[in-house]
Amino acid sequence: MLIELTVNGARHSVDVPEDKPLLWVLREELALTGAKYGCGIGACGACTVLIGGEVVRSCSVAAKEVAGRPIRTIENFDNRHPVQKAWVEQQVPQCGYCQPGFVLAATAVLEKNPKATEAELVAALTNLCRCGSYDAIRAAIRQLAESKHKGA
Amino acid sequence: MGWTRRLFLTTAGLAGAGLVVGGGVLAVRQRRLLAFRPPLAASQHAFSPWLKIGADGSVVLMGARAEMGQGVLAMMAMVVAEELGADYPAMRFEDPPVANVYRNVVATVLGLPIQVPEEGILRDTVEVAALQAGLQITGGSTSTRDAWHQLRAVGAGAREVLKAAAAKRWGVAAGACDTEGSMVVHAPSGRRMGFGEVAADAAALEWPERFAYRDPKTWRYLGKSPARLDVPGKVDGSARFGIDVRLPGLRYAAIRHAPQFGARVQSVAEKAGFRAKGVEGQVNLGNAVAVVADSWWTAKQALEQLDIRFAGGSEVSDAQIFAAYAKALDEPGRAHAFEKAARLAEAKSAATKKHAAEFRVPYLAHACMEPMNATARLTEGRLEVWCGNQAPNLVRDLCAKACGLAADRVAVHTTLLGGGFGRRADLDYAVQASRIAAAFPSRPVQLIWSREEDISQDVYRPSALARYEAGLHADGSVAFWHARSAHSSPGRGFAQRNIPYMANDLPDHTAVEAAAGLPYALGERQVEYARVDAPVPVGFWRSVNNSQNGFFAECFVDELAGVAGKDPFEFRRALLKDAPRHRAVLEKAAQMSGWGRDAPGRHKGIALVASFGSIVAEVVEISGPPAADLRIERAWVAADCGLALDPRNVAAQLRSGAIYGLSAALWGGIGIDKGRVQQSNFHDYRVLALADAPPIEVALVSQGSPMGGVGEIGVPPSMPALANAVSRATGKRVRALPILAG
Repeated sequence: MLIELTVNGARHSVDVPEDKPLLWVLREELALTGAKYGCGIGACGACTVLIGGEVVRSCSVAAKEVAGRPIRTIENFDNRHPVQKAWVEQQVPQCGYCQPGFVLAATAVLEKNPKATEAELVAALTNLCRCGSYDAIRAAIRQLAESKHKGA
Repeated sequence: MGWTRRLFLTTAGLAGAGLVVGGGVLAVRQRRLLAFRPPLAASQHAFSPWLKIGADGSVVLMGARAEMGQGVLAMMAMVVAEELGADYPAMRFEDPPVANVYRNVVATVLGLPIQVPEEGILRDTVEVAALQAGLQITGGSTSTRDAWHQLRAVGAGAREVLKAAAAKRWGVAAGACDTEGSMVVHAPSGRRMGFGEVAADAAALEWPERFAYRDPKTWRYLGKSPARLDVPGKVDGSARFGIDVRLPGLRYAAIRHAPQFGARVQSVAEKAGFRAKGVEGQVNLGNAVAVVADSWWTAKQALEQLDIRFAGGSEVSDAQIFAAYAKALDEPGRAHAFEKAARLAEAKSAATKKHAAEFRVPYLAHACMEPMNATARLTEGRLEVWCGNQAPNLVRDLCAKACGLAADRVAVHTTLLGGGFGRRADLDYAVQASRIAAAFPSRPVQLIWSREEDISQDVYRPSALARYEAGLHADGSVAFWHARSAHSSPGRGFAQRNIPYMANDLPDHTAVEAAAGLPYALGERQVEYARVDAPVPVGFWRSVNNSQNGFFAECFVDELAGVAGKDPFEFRRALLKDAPRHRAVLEKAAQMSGWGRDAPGRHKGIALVASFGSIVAEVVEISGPPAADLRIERAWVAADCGLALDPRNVAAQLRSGAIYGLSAALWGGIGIDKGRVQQSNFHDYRVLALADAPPIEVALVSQGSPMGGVGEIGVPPSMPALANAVSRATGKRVRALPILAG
């Protein structure tokens, strides 16, 4: 079926099977490979994208369900975003495969509530990292939480 | 002592001159390898197989090791940049072709089924052979050790010829020049010249026989942990993993393996719905069927529209496997003694107190975040393979064989790895992609395993059974220590699958790593291992046999402390009276953790495991049992890995290893029933998430030790440290993992 997707501000017409998940449309049709396949059941968060400010695990939603809605992938962010800056400053990634998902999940929390606390961020970041970069992620979100409070 | 260093010494000896302290002599090996040229772009010049400098001043490192999270490429760049005087942040990497010069000598020698002496003619011979017939492998926590002398010499040698070329242009003495920021500088005159400007001249010069290494006090990068070069791309999504390879006309393949180990495809029938739009066909791989389509999701859907019958296969279950382990340990003479006590029976009868325990651990999957995948294209008798892998020369050789090609007809492109942990040293997925591509000539095909296939078709950390027995003298010292274990051999499994010419029935000394050679004063000690081959494939799982043996030995020494009525830290400390380096590491972990002072409801456990040439002690603090649910609150890691070239990354690796081990100890378990793996995804193969993961404090203990490995050493002590904390909390000894059912 022909659907229209709005990804990172650009509109794309794609002809896809009825129930093809958004993840595979992004990766195969649009060559946006920042969203990763990790589990296919919405358990790991490697495929995280933002749709209208909400965190969506793109492996578990059909592309047609989100046609027309504003989709943002990691490619929308160019490392000047505060979350990415914190991630680079704290040297978070190891293998890095899961990190775009973490960055987007943290971004969504802070967009909704710029004063989100470290604990709120920890609770919201349910993604998995097999390299165990969690201490560095905590350092990055602590840096973000503290800078938000300072700015307030 | 590493290979290169010995040749430095040998060369120095032959030249009739001693080794200059803090200096280097160009190794025989280096000289021989200088003849090899990496592929060069126009206006690029080679400075050894590892380094290229462009006329534009670009400094390119041939990144012949797999970047799987451990930061190996950044480390290699730092080492070269330091000696070369290159501008490290501007350095780039290129994936080199498969070539002997890039083989990992240290890993190859350590992986042999025999223990090669540290010194002597046998060692030298084996190491020379390793370079010819070894593996270009990233594994065994060896990359830094293998690279340290080689790449340091590459940087220093290249620096000297760059200086010489610039000095000639300027008409000054090369000795008055230095390098910094990818420029040659002549301080007396203030002249500077970019590397690019003199690269052509310098590349034509003979490398000097000897040169000085920079004084570590002047290091700009080493020991300073500058930002990793691979980090920005991993934060903005531009990093390219195997699964991200995109080629014109790319097709995708999904795969279903026989669910039972050893089963074969008997028949494949297409149901009515199979030939959906985009489906291009199916390939019978013998033990699996792959479907090729214009989308991976379409291919995966089409797999459901195949009626695949499998035949044969194992019916084995965990109970039978453990019964086989028990039988092997019951049978006199079946186990091989790697450490043999001279007077074990006497010591056993003389001990005033005796203690015995039986331990068991399950199979474990790797569960890399990036499921197994590879891309291949066969065009007119030439095969190209793109994938994350830990052994490119094996990718080349195995894929060539599978497609009936000569090895020189195969090109391997190694991408970033979304986790390796030993899994990507086994190359089934690359071979499958090549065979599928062979069925669709000239078409690039990307094979991606679903997570379910990834979990159920792994090469697992073996399950194992161990029986430990020890005795105490009246004064509390250990009279004897008798350790026996039975499990399959990961090294043998790996060899059979990937390097069958190396598979053998010699006693596998790696099976007793972290079981034999313990640093404790244990009196009469005997350590035995019985290899039991089971139908479940086993392979290298981060820290390999250290992962189960560390658990057995460190839980048992903890139990023994209880029998002796001693504090587990103090008991270990006393047993380390002749192992001061280990004792210092143990003491550091205890001190950091505030050992001996537990807050109400909190309990700590401690463990010490030396592996890969490094020493690590960990303390894990939990809350919960017996009153409430178990929670890992905090952990402390002290390690001596010798010189830490990138301390921040060493700390990150230690945390990484601890989290990997804690996930396994808490929840990790692959169950086998009727030849089938019972787990399939992260819902039933649970791993620690951010909210579950304890903050981990790390300290590096620097005491002049030889350089050891880092990538795996955090894993082994984490499991017994957690188990010992739980034992303390509940009053019931943990003797089997995982501690909680998923």
